[in-house]
Amino acid sequence: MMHAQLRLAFSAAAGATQLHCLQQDPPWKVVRAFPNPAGESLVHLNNISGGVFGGDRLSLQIKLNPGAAAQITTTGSTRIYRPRENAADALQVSEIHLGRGALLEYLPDSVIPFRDARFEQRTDVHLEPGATLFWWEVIAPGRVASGESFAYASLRINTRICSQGQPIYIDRMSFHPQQVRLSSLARFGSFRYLTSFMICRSGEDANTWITLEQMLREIAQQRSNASSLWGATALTADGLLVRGLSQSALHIMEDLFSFWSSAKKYLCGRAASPPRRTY
Amino acid sequence: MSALQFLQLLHLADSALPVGTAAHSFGLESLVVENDLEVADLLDFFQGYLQEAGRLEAVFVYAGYDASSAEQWRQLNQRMSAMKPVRETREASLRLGKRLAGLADEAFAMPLQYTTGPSHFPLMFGYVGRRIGSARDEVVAAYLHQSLSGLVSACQRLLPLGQSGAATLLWQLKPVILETLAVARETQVDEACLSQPLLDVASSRHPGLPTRLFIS
Repeated sequence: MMHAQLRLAFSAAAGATQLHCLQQDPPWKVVRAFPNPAGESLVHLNNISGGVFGGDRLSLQIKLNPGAAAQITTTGSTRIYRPRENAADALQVSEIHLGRGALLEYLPDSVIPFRDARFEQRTDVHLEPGATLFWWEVIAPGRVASGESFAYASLRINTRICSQGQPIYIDRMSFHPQQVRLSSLARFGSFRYLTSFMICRSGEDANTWITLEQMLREIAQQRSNASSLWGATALTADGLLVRGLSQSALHIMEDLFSFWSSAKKYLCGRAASPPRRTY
Repeated sequence: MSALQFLQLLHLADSALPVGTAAHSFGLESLVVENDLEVADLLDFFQGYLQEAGRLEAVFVYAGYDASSAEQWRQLNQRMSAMKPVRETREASLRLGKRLAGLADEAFAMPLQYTTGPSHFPLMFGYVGRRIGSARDEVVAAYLHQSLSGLVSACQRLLPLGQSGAATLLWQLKPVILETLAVARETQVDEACLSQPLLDVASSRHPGLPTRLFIS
């Protein structure tokens, strides 16, 4: 059982972005930052225990100072292990603050809740004027190759994004597959993987989002088929949500890159630089 | 509840209330076209719907009923907008709320107090229900009944569902309405969840359907 904190700060200096690792308790581990071809500072988040155990309390704080640009990824899927019976639910709390004109691309691998896992993920993001966020998360149904699908006990995803202090996106999902039928057409239907991709810029004109929504909707149409369904929709202000459901993980990253590339080109005027060559 | 209050609540809960609910399917049309929602699935689907969207909206009907200041009203509407990520569904809710506010003001001679500005339908329904003088639970039950009736009516236009089948469905779902209400009554606005990813995706894909009967 771990109570661990990782605190990272990024600051812009002389045309580059510098990483400051303010605190890292095991199992969190960040080695260093690498400049990527797009100009962001690329950081890999490691969990040296291999996953999240029952009772773990993991805290992640990321602060981007004005003008900083960072890309954060993981070195593998986040495995949520089966807890001991008397262990508390595992919890990961992330607090992200993007200063004026900062850019954060948070592109982790999937979250895989194992059989009987109990996990809560709380994420709070605050954007100052001109700050840009690309944030995705992929939730797997379990260890599919081992025949596990929706065998976890509970999964709660609480995400809140505020732009200049105003909430623009509050996503509170709570899945209890042993209590409710997730295969209902009101929930997952025949799909198993859930992907959410948030694209936000604080203070951006409403027309920008309508135009981008149309662009991404066309991609969603092209990328959807019998085993994947994608949709794109503008938020109440300052952002857009791309959401997808898939029967397998096979094409999810490829599909996400497609949305990300178009959105980054449109919003930032430059190409997206994948954190890895292959997935 | 007096006989007049009872009649007024019946009026408010009538699916024929002219606020525009009949023009919206809230993603159902996409589910029928793209995800093979069929008549045989409807009971299970609406049980799930009530447990997710129904519960969230019921929480906000309670909140609209209890709201007591302009600032609280603004914050509730802002939160509801942030919790409805799909533009079509969010805009539909605001449009219905605006029409209900207009109807309350003009037809019911019920001047609005602090509920100016963009208002979501569940919040406005709760507010108008309180102004009528109905009890909280009755207003929420009336809301859920009205929204469910509207969706079942949409199914009658989208699927081979006859009047008798629709009536049977609505009758069978009444206990689920009460279960939803009981959970919503104990849920604070900041605890409310919405876990219906397929319906969200379907709603966001609705504008791309080749032909559409509904606005959302």
